[in-house]
Amino acid sequence: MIDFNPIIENPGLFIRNFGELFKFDSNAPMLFSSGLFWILFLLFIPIYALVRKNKWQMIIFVVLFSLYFYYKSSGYFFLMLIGTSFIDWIISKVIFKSERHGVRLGLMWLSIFISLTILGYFKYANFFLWNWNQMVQGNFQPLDIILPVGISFYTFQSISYIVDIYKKKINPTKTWFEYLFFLSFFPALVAGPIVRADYFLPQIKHKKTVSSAQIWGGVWLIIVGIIKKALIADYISQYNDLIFNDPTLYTGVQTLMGVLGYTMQIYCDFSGYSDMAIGLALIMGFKLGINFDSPYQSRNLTEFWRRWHISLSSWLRDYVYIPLGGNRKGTVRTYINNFLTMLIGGLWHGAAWKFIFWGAMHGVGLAVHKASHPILKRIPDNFITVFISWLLTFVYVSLLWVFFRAASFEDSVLIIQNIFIDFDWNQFPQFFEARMVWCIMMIALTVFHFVPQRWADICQQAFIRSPWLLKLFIFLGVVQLVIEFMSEEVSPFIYFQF
Amino acid sequence: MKDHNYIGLWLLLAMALAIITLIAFSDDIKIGEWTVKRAPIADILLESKSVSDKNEINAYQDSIRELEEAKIIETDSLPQSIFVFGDSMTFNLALRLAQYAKANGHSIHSVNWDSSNTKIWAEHDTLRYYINEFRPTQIFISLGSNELYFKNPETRIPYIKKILEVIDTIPYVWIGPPNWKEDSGINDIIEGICKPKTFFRSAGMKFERKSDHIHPTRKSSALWVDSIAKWLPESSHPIVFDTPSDSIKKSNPNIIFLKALNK
Repeated sequence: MIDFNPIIENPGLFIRNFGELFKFDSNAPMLFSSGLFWILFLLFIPIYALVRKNKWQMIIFVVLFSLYFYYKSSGYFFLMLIGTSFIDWIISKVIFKSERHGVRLGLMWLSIFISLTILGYFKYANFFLWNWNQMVQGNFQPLDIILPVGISFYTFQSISYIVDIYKKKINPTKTWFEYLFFLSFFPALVAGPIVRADYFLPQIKHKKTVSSAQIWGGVWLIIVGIIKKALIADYISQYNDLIFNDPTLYTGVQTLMGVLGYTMQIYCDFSGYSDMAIGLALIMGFKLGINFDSPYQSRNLTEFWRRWHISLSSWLRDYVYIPLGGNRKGTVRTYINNFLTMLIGGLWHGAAWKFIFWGAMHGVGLAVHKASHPILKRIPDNFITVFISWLLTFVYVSLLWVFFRAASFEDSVLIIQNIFIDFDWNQFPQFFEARMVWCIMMIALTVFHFVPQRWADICQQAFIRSPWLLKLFIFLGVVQLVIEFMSEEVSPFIYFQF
Repeated sequence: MKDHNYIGLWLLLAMALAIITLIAFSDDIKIGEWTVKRAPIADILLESKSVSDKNEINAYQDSIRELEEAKIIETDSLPQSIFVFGDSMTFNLALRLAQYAKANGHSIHSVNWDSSNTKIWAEHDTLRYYINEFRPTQIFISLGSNELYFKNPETRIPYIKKILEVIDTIPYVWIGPPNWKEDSGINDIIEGICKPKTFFRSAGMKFERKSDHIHPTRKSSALWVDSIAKWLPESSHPIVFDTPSDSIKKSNPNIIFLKALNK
């Protein structure tokens, strides 16, 4: 029996709470997998379907929606996004028109300086102040700074835009609104992928056509993203958090599983969100490119970075590594450039030494792989060598995730120590029995990760061609699964006893 | 460029939302043994109704408390069988409680269930099992830390009641969670349901925390227990609980660790 009495009895409360949902709440940034976004997207679709045939109507509508989306996630920082985009656009126009190399170069650096200063203030000010106070033994009082959501992503987009205009790879947009459309495009605004102007801007056209395959292909990606992010990552994180929050309490087996769990969690979390973003854009008729390509299949670190967060790693390659000299200045400089690029990549992830360490160790790993390449290529490719190289890469990447996730360097060491010191194979059956759902999810995830891309494409095509009713059942099924697992307590009476 | 594709998509999303919303506002739907879980739509949209529930409980409890406070309770001088159970806060509490137990001739057993909460303890037979095994005469409960920031803490009311039902007539003290910031109401709710003089409010006390910024350090937990011991004569079941001398360094708190799968 459906009971709407609570609403009928107190309509004012219902309306007020419903209205509150649409206001900025710093504790609840809007996620694609949230119910609120679902409602908003329902309002968005019919209007978009109407206005997409007219370029300017579409741009204005999508920009307004994107700015509201950003307001919901970051409050009045959406005004900063408008402001910085305007400054960038003006500078880009001047760079484009100027014939003098010095002026062009100076303006490019001015724009980069402005972008990085804003990013630096919001993201790194407290980190640098803390370090400064550590050096001078001062009394550190953190500044009350709120980090605008997605600032790292759109800052990199704006830098690449300016650099590409300086290098005459692209022309600036004719209007500021087109640039704002590119920078604020809501599917990619808060968590990427980092979209390049040369790839994205040509897609803004009059009479935008969107095929059935694009729309349902986009829905398929959203479903895959929801499964990865809201179902798997959010579920397995509950166990992983226990391990990382109190590393001394658990056995080696439990800790190892927590580390493996986090390795999968971060992939599902990030790639799931990317899938949803790419899917949403596809529904609107825009391609954002691929961002994750089964990264844990990699057999070396170089391959891993070609498959992991591809939009960031290719950005770092094109706008940091190559300008530093890439591999054009000798072997030693190549290693140093690799190392510096990864160091910046690490710092981009967060303002803490642990991220710098994580980036640096990836830099070291890449350098070691490059240095050992002449030896490695002499080793024959067979199942054993392929397996060993995969295993080494996976273990190295997983161990570095420990430093990425743990609260401190000391905690990371404790966790890794714990795996080796307090390890007992006999606990695996007990662990499986105690955490069966968690283990099943991890096994399923591992299997799906190694499924050939071709199979995934077949599934996508089958979904696109399936009847509407089946699509509805699949979508509903996935949403209900998320609801079933979203609860904060899903544990039966299962435990370890020591 | 076919608009009917967008119409199909819109209908799919709208239909799915309508179904999920209907389920959210309906009675339990059962498919065999499985009950379809509802999306928290109703909870979000009708959130403050629960505040009035909470106020009702508080008002009721206040009136009982006033009556009970007038009673003078004598200290139970018999040796006690103490049982302390709860979430991960239990471990450090038990270490210090064991020193008190040793110093005052009591025995102690404890069960530390990581990341557990009132629902987990209420829904499983663990508590009943250990009460039957240890036959305690005094219970300390340390639960609520994993429910401090629930949006709808009043959903825990049945679980808290269930735990107290299992404890039945055994004297108990519910040690409130050591808040690290303002909670969403769990302290008030637990206090409201517990019998008068059985809830020790830890919120507001200052703690030195471990690196997770959540758990009090062992030293801070010892001071926490000292505060509980000072308050105990005012509780509903005062027992002999003098501060242990420095010579009692370590005591076995008989801790059983239960490792929870999830919160």
